[in-house]
Amino acid sequence: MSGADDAVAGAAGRGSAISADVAPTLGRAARIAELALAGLAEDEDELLGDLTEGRAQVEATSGPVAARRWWRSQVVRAVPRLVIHAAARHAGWLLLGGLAGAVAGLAVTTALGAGITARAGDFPPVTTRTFVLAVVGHGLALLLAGVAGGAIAALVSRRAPLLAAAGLGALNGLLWLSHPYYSTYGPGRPAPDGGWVIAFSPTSPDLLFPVLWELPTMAILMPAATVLGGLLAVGWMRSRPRDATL
Amino acid sequence: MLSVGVLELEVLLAVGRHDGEAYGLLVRREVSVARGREPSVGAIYTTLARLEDKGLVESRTTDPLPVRGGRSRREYQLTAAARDVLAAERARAERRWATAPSLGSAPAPGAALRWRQA
Repeated sequence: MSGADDAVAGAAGRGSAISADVAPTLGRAARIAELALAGLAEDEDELLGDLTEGRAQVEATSGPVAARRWWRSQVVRAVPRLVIHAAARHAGWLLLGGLAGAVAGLAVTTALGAGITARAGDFPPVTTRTFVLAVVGHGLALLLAGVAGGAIAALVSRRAPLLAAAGLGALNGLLWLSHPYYSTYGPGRPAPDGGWVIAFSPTSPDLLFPVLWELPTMAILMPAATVLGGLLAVGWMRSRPRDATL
Repeated sequence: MLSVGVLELEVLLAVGRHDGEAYGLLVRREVSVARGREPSVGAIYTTLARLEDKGLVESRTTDPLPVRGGRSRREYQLTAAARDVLAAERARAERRWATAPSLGSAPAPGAALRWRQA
């Protein structure tokens, strides 16, 4: 055992006699890590409480640096265990959450995509305006859809909510990695007044996306946005009174 | 009869030693001593949850504690089914060792390697 673990083990054995009375305060990164663990654990009081108590014991005997190191290592080691545990225990709920998140994301992209339908001439010329509208507008719509989908996935699954959002995020990343080479503009469709309409929605065939945009943004930002949505939902659920949550 | 893995067995024994007052960190300490290497806090947490699913332990939560950042502890105790499992595991181990040949004292470090080379 390491020195820090000896401290935790000894303190636990003596009924926490050497531990500090009050839990150490956490930095911003640690609070985000706690939020993520809370989103993966069913009983966050039990897990986060053990981590906090263990950290206080290490800090009392070995100092704050060793305590931080011990806490970080325990968080990193806990994540895969929690993921496997939750996936095995709540596969149905996670699947339901992921499905609801996917539907929500699709609804958002469709709604926003429909809102940025552009009109062009006989055949759509690639102007700076339409290019920016397509690339940036479409990208932002997708990222918003990712946040919304992740939040819905977390809220619906409830059990290990962050895992449902992370699963959906991974799926989103794979989805966008699978077709990063759209580089065509059009074909669009003729408008009743003789013009030409191009839809900038993700489900539209009228897409123009440079590979160098699609790969780094959608394959990385989309999963990140989905997980962010999940984290926001977890934070919201934690901020509610206990008796109001399941 | 329910079957349990090695870590689950160690956790059950640890819970049994502090029946009703066993909680994650304390169980982790007991298992660390028994195994000679420390499992993670997450491993003990998931193992206890699994044992509760199997009906081998039951738990209650304490009042919030300042040292835990205002969070409660979950304290575990064995169920009757767990006592049956432990008794069966003990009987199995005793049967196994009753038929084992006499192996003498523990070999010196490197003895197995020298034997293989010879």
